[in-house]
Amino acid sequence: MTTGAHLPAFGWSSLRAAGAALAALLLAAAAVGQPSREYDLKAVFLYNFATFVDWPESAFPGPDTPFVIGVLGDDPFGAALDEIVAGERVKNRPLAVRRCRDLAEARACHILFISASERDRLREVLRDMAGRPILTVADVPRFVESGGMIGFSTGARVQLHVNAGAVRNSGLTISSKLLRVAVVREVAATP
Amino acid sequence: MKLSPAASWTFRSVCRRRLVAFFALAVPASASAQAVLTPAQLKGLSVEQLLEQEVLSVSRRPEALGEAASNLYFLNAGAGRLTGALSLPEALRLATNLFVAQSSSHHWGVTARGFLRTNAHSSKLLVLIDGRSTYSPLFSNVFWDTTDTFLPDVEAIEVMSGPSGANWGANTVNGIINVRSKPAHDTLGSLLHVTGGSEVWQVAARQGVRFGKDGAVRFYLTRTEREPTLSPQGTEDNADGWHATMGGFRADWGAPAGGRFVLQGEGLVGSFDTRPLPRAEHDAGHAMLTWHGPERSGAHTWGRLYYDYSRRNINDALLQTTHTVDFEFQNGMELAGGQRLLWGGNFRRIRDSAEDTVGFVILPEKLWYNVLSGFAQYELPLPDDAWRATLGARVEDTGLGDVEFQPTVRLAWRGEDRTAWFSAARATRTPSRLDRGFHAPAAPPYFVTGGPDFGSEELYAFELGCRAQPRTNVSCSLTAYLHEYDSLRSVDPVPPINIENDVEGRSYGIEAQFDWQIRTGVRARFGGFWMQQETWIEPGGTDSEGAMGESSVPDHQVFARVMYDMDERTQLWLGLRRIGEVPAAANGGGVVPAYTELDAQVTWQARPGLELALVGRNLLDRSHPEIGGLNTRREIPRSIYARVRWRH
Repeated sequence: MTTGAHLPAFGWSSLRAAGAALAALLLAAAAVGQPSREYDLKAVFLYNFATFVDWPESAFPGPDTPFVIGVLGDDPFGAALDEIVAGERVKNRPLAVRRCRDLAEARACHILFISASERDRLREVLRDMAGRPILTVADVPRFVESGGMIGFSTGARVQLHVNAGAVRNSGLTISSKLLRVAVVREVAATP
Repeated sequence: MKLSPAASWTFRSVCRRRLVAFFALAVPASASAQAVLTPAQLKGLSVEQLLEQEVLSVSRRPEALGEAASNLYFLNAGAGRLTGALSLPEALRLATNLFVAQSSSHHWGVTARGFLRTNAHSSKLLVLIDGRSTYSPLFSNVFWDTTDTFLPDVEAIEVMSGPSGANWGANTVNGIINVRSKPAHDTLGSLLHVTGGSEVWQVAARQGVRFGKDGAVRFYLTRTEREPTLSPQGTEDNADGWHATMGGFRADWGAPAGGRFVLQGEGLVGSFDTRPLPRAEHDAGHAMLTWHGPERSGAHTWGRLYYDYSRRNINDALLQTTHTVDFEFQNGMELAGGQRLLWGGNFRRIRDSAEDTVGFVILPEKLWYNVLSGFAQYELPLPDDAWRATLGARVEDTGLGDVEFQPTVRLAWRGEDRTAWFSAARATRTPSRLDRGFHAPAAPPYFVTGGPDFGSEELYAFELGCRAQPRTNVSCSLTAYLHEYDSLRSVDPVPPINIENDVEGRSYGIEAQFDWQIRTGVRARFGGFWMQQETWIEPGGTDSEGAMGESSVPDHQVFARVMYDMDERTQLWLGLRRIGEVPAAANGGGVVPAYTELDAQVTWQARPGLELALVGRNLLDRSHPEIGGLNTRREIPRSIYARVRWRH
């Protein structure tokens, strides 16, 4: 095959330079292991919700049924959530984290974090969860307005938004201590 | 006395806080500029304190691409079902930044930001399906009759106009379309779609089951029959009926903590009439394995290996075959201070051939070659938290003698409900085998001797855009761009006729979209583009097409769509489009007149799992052309069909 005479303006020397820059970055990455804080924070909030919310007895079929925090969709927490709940008990039950693959698995959770990856089917998910004793949490914009229960908004700090109507309809009770620090909204249930 | 949960929690947190305070003193400041509390430390804080914590990075979330600071449009899972689309290009009409023109029963021209040939070939748009390229390296085009997917199980279609060669590689000059299918766990059970009416019949079936400890798999099959379009005079000539069968599977297994696997495969066999010439046949298939590494905080790795095959026999006058083996991997990681690094590599081995040609030949007839590339993208937050800069570049060895460097710079500002960005990029369209090796006649002495010196077409692009959600029920985006093209393809008309790079060009335009939830159950979307495309022959150059070879694009298009939930079970969808006139540079020339068309669908949920729909496409005219020259362009007729969707 004939070689094209039309070589780009950038040649192999820039390729080598890019390689060196890449190597430098990789070394930098190895030296720094500090996790960023946003999802560590949110994971701790999820854990706290377990103590600040009361579930009806019907949510726990057996005396040993664990308390399940579920993540639906791409998991943004990494190991943080597992680390936080490891060995902890809430309401005298062991805590467990479950990555849910589908709605059927999500229905078996007590707290369900709906990842941003599920944005497009948010309404479908919320419709499915509606009326069940499952605390739905997410950090996608307008989550509470869409019928979700607790929304995180994230700027320089994390803020909590609570949809009091949706919580009530599901049979859950949120402690006033949590309600005091959250932005509480009354949003009509999604049709 | 029993302590309330809140009270006991506060007591415990007090103890923890003391511990945290102790460790905070005992442990020397960490190397990074800001001390970051570990999850265990955070656990010890009260809710009030948690709310006071400064968020170090808002970027670790697996970014829904729709949020990205770029001109990206997101068509979600229901797109096909919503609009009654039965093929991928029909679903792509939903993207207001794409120009989609049907040229026959089985082919469409799809492009972003202009540059489409009169025969509806687009060399500057890359189309990926689950990461697999469908771009023909032989012809620099996407053949839509072999680029299909099982639409009911599509999770999302991402459409980005503008170059992104740094991320996606060569030929991502004017845009990229990435189709993602759903994980098999989301498609369990049976699904049957039966569609029939004027112009089209389709049966689509899928079965999804679980296997093993954590696996799921689905199998699907579709059969499509399309009636011929009409002659340029609007009469029935049965010239281009299309018949295609496709089957495939996707299996997902593994767990996020230990690594996930996806194995998928598909086969497609089809044929279309090309009367009065013999029927043309096409078939394609692929098998692909994707591995997603164990998920750790802030880092991800994936690798993908596929084999892809496609063959087209056009009227026994051209048999083209392409075999591709492709391996790609990517690694992403969080660095200190919210920086992010993404890097990866791609190796592709291609064997293609063009045989049995009549009147011309592509030399060499068969060729093995390797395409090798690597990219890195580095994202850093600027001192003011709301700003981020992204630098990326890809180096690619095309295997045909060129090395391409495709850099990009992007500056993004992100507020609570709005995002703005600026980007500058260089992207290239690499030579196809057709460009380099086209010879005519079929045996020496040749009077067309290919393009031995044909090099890559180049683009320097600048873009300014913003996206905002000013109210709960309103979101909008606006993008302005300027593209400067160099070394575009030309044909020197003086024997020996050669393919060269003598055309230059410029395009600029605006893309806009406005979404409005008018009230509960009524949603509207307005959008479209306005653009100008200028191309000229560079001083001293020549081009037999007068620099107009890729000018079959409109200068504007406008969409207005409404979705209306009439009651709990009935939904109405209306889509109106206005497309500007499309000039033709070949096949008799002329201009395809501007047109306005209406698509509509009524969907009725008869009972859970059973849905009936009535679809009307192109309702305003008996037929209309969308692209092509006066002698060969086809009239696309009105079409009305019904669909039954059964799910169990």
